[in-house]
Amino acid sequence: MSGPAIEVRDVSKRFRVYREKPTSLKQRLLSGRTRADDFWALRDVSFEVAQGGTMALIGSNGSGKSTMLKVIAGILRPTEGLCASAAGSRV
Amino acid sequence: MTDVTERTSEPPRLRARQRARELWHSREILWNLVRKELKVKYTASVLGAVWSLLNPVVFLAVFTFVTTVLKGGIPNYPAFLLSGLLAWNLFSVSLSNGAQSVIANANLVKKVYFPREILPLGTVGVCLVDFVLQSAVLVVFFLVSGYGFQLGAVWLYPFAFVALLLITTAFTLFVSSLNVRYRDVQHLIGLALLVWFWMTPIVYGAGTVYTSMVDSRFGITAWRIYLLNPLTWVVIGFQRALYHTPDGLKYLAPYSSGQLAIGLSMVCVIAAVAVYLCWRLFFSMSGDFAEEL
Repeated sequence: MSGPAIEVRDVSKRFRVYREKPTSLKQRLLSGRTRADDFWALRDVSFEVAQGGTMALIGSNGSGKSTMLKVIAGILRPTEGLCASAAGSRV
Repeated sequence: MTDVTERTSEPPRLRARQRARELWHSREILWNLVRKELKVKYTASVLGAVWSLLNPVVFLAVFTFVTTVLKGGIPNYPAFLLSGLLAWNLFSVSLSNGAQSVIANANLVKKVYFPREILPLGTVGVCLVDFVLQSAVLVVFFLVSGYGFQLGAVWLYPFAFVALLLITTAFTLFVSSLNVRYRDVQHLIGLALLVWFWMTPIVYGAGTVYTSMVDSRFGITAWRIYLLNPLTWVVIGFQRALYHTPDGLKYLAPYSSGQLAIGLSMVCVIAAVAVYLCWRLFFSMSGDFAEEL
């Protein structure tokens, strides 16, 4: 098969760290804008894994390894960029 | 290269056929979820699934007693009440449990990928099992008490059932996706269901409503508005299919089985569209569930 099994292109992931998250409609309506700090777990990550290929993600704590995997697995959505995986590939 | 799953920063758009195929492949998860829920519900209870059966049995017993003591009102009231109430139970329990379904399984959602629709659909599945069990009680009651079925009307049952299932699925998808972001949805549902219950002719007869509404100064318009409630159609459908006491027929909605079949078919079509729309909403929101939880 041609094409990579997993393709990650310019993926960034931003988490919003809310000081107080509006979890109810009332709060949402009352406080127009909520204050949130941005935390970029991933910035412009790009790589490819070929069919049958192996890749290792190495990094210190909090460097975004799990976040990357979650994006590939489809649990999280990237804030920017694109992540594609061929059908049948399992993460 | 065959199918490629892409994830981008755009909220995902539902491609129904592809997604339906994915859901079909995950049917084993759905099945296991339903089984798990049922097991959890009945572990450490001595009677187990009998609890589900006990609910309609108690209802039947209580109302048989009450109506024989009080007399008057709708004849054969237990049969009348249960015809509609079981449908309502399926709907209301699905909705209130379905709202929690994604949150209750937060650990799963945050850790593994699977089509998120499985969760609300699983809730509907569990309620469906209960519905079947409770209906079995009703059938036994009908047969044992000699009330029986009327073949001329019972064919309406599948119409009402399909409509009920579609409506329930649509609303459950809707509330389960909203409740992830706004937790007050679950409280709102409790209240909404209470109002909704009394707006639906379950404990009282639709025929009574019809008579008093047509006589009121709003006339037939009030009745038409009353009929906008899709569950009214479902419930009067079930009642027409199951309840056939000659003296009690005037308490049912003033429609023949044929008219109800047409009405319910229309409800089915609208509900199917609603399922699609709610599915789309759910799907586009489901990409962010892991983050919201």
